[in-house]
Amino acid sequence: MHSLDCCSAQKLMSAFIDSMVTAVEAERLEVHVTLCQACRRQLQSYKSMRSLLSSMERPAVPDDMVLETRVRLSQERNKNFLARFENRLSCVLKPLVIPALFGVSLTTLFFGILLGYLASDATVLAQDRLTEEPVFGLYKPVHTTDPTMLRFVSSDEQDLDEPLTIETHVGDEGRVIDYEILSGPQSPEVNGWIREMMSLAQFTPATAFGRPVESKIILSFVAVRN
Amino acid sequence: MPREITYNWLDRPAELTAQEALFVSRLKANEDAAYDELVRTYSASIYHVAYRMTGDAAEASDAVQDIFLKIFRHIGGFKGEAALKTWIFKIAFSEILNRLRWWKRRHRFTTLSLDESPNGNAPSYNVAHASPTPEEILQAKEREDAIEQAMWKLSREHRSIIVLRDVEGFSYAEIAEVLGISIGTVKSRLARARADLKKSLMCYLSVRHL
Repeated sequence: MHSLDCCSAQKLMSAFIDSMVTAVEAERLEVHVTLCQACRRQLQSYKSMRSLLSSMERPAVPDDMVLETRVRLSQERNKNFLARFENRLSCVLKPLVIPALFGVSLTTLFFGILLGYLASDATVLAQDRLTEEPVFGLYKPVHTTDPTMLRFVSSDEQDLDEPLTIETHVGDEGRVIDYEILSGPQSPEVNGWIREMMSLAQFTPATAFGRPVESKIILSFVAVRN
Repeated sequence: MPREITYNWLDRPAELTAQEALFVSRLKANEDAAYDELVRTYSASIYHVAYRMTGDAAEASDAVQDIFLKIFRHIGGFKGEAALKTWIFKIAFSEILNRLRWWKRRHRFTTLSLDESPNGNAPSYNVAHASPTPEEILQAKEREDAIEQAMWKLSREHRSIIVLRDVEGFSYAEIAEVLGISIGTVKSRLARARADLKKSLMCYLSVRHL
């Protein structure tokens, strides 16, 4: 085995103290340092220096450093999370904007047409019950039908000397719930006739939003003749 | 029969373990506990490296905070080709060297006093464990100062490699990974750095350790 010269030996020393030389190199260096006192001292100084460096006191970590690091990291993470969330939301929502606008427009148009259709041929009143709480909506007032009125009249055999006015309270089924004679002749016969007529009368009920509701109608009879 | 010596020729960068992979996935999921653990595990060692490289406690502390922010920003791109520690110190060294370059530009004409440590403050020593005498404390401080001054005479490249290998105990493969150089370059650069450092410390070494 060749022995090393001092220059070659010194080149190997750094790697040797870290066990980063081959077995052959290590053997040759060990042989050399046993023979060369100067190189032995050099190798010793390398080992000594490494030991000196590894034994250096570790500087004390500032007390607030870890806390500040955590705070800054937390802020950055939250900021980043919000930014990513906004970005993701924007990416998801952007393609939906046009279809959504189209959908809203279409829905508005549909309901506009529907309301227009419902509102046609109807009277808008502030109340569907004249004496009760106001209700806003579409209202179709009560009215009589011809056959009913014919029956109403044909059954009458009374003469009236003065106009007879009756306020009639009509239920949602079209039957008279209650009535009040506002003006006209007052006699037991007339009252009996009116009671009979009211109990037999059939009205088409008033409607609000297409549903039958209670209502009032004022009937006026000028003269009744057979 | 030749003496059996353990050689590290097959020294390779440590690979990502299953435990580390799980930890990385928790970091990628932005888990609070994972980031707490990350700071708890690495802040001190990153600070030590930053302090040895900059010689300034406040600068090192700022660098540590910025390094953790960079880790957070880049963890999504971490593919696990290297161990987490190596990847973290690669980021750390990149940040520290950037700061040193900036520092050098700002303080081009500043002269460094060899009578005191580079930051002008004496480093604090943890003396509680040994209960040293005042004389021992003084000797320890002298020794620390001598080493710091000698290290500050080294080039930035040489100081980096000495800090990583001799102070922090990184393997050659880890150093190669952190500094982005080959293992052969690590060996040669370390040899030159040690030779330079030894020249500065020779008197001290010969008096105290030989």
